[in-house]
Formats: sequence, C-alpha cells, structure tokens
Amino acid sequence: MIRIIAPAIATSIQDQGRYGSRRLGFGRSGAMDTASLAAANRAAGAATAAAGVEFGPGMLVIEVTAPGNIAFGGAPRPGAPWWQTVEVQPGDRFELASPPEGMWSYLAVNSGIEAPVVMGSRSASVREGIGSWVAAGAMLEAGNDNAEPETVEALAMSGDVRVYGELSGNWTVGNRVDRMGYQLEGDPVPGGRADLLSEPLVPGCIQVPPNGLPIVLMAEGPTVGGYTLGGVVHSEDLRLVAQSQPGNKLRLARAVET
Amino acid sequence: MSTPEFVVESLGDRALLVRFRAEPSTELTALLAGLAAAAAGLKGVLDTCPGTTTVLIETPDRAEVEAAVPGLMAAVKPAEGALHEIRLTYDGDDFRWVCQHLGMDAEDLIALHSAIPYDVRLLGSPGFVYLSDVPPEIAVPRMDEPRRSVAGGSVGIAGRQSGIYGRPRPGGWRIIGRTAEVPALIPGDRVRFSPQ
Repeated sequence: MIRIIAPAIATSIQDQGRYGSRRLGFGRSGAMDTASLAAANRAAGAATAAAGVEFGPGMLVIEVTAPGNIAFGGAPRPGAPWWQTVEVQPGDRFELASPPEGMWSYLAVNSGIEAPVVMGSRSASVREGIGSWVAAGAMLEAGNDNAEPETVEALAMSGDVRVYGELSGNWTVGNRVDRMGYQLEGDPVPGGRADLLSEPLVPGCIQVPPNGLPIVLMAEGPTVGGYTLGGVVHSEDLRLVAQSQPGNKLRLARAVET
Repeated sequence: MSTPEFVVESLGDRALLVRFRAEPSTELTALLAGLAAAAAGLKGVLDTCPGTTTVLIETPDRAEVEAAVPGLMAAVKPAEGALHEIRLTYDGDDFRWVCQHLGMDAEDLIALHSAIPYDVRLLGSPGFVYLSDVPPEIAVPRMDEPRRSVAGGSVGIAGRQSGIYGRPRPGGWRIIGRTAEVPALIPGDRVRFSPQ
C-alpha cells in the first residue's frame, strides 16, 4: 500500500503499546504520542488501536501503491494535508519536510499497517530485539483493523506538563532525546543517586542521576532502574514532552492528586 | 516467612507501587513474583512487574486496584520458580582483573561463584537478568567507565550484585564469564552456574 522511498529519523511501526510482558523485561514501547496516532487512525479509517508509521525529524518520502484512505497526524509538516482523511491513488507521492514544531509524526492507513504481533503488540522495539527501523524501499501493507473514517481535531504540540512529585519549574530539552528518554537541562537537582535498588519504572518516570539533570523516560524506556525518582509526568501530558524539540522550553507544573 | 509490612504508593496517574519494608531475600523475591502474577489477573490491571522490594501494578483504576491489594496479599502464594543450570565458561574480559583485584586463584573464584544457586530477582530491558547476591568474598566494584557494548550471554558482578546480559548492551559490570545460551527466565526462578 505504501512504499518508503526515504525514511525520516527513527521511522518505525508503532501502535498503542505492549502490555503484559513487563515482568519479562519488555516495556510498553508503542507510539511516542499515542493520542496523535489514535487520531490519525480515526481519520484514515482504522481502529484506534491499529498500527501506523511513526517518523521523527528529517524528510520522509513515500509513494502510494494501492488506492485507499490515509491520514497524517502528530507534528505537522509541510507537504500534505494534516489531521484529515486523504483519498490516495497508486503513484501519489508525498515529500514531508522536517516539522517546524514537534518531533514525531504519524502516517495511518485505512485498516492499519500490517506487522507481526509480538506479545500482543505490533510496536517495534529495536533495542529489545522486536522489529526493526523502517528502511528505504520497505513496502508497508494494510492490515484488517478497519473502521469508518472520522473527522478529527488537531492536537496541540506544546503546553504545560503536569508532574506528580517534587520536580517542577522551567527546563530546556537537551540534545539527548530518543524513544528511550529525554534529558532536560536547567539548574541541576541536588541529591541524585545511582546506587539505589533497581525497582520498576513506567514511561513518564523522571530519573535524577548524580549530575542532577533529569531524564524523562519515554515509550521505550527501561522497565527497571536505580536512580533517584524526581517525579512522574501525567500520562496525558507525556506526549507534550515527546513533541518537544531539543532547545525547546518545557514548563513542569505540579499535578493535582486525584 | 511472615508477610512483611507494605505500603501502596501512586506512581503517577496510571500505576501503583506496592513497597515492602523488608531486605531483599529469596523469600521476598518469591513473594513479589507471586503478587505480580496474582495482581495481573485483577480487573483493570494492564501490566505488573516485580522489583527488588516492590511490585509495580499498571492500571488506570488506581483506587479500585489499591483497595483490592490487601485481600490479594492475604491470599497470595509465593512463586515456586524453576531451577535452571547455566553452563558458564569463566573467561570473561574481566576474569583476570577480578582475580588480581581479589588476590584470588582462578579455581577459587570459580568455586565460590558456582557454589550457590542465585535467585532471578527481576528482568530489565533489554534482556538483563538481575540475580541475587554473590558471596561477599568475590564482591568487586563496577567499572569507572562502562563499556559501550557488552556481548549477550555475558555474566558480570557489580558490588555483590550479579547479572546476565541477555542481549548486547552497554554496561559497567565486571564480566567474569559467558554462556552460549541464556534460558527463558522469569522472576522467582533460580539459576546455578556450571563451570565449563
């Protein structure tokens, strides 16, 4: 259905994530911005839980090989309509430049993208040995998770990030950002330790190593860790961290306990 | 083992952490593995994971699941893990360094390391197996500068902790040996190293 002519940085197949295999050492993985993938799926005519293509900064070039509906969501890029159903024909070609705002964009197709289901999910987790990065020349086929295309609203790529715990204030997103974690830069947090007993973590946990620069664990973050815990990002706001580019300001606000 | 005291903490808005007031031990590892398995069957629970002294329960229904934990604890059975034998060749990159650091003959290091079974405490991502403590005589500090990549199948020591690298990854543990095959392990299992 879709041929990848040139992948962007960290192009991979993702869905809403892998649950139930954490005790075997396999984390959630899944889309960095699950809400944007879900919205793109709904616009394309795929089930919310279907897999799509996640792509990071840099240019993505694709060619359509079969007629159908597709949709783009996440970090908006020049080169295609965004957040809406796009009817496509064989030979249609899209050249999507790097996003001016945001980091991660999504390509959804009607019926979802086909990929092997591993432990309940189609999400690639290259570091864990599941799936691989999507390379130039890859042919992506549509799956069976179809639904009626819907009208969806654009999601914001920035905003205040609610955090449970002590960590708050203004930070700058550092250069060390990937699917595992985002390092923040600012006034170092004192008291970070590296010798604690290893205990379970989830995406959104903020680790504070001895250098005092917090690391927000993302979709492909480790399942356990032994650094000081500085706080936990609200699950609805983790996508805003994910969509922050290196150098962007990030305001962490106290989450209200419910 | 009498059931140790525990508290239930929130880890953000979609997870609970059941934290036990107890030192790591074989009994605690079996209890945590049993609780993780039992909690996975609760309504509304997405995933669970035992830690060294805690159990993670991922759920959007924190209040309901938290209320169910005491009842679950009263009924939980410690996991009865399987014992796996792992054939280990003691020729890791740090084996000679460890012998020199400890002032110990190779035979003694091998004998001490392979003398006792180890508990599989937890599995880290990607594929790292955290084991229970090595005998105090063979504790060694971790490397000042971690290696960029440690081969899968490597067995290492850091302080009194020991572990198996199931997959290649960076790491700073002192590598004493390697195995051709890491069996599929779950927390609560035990392993015994058989020198080759």
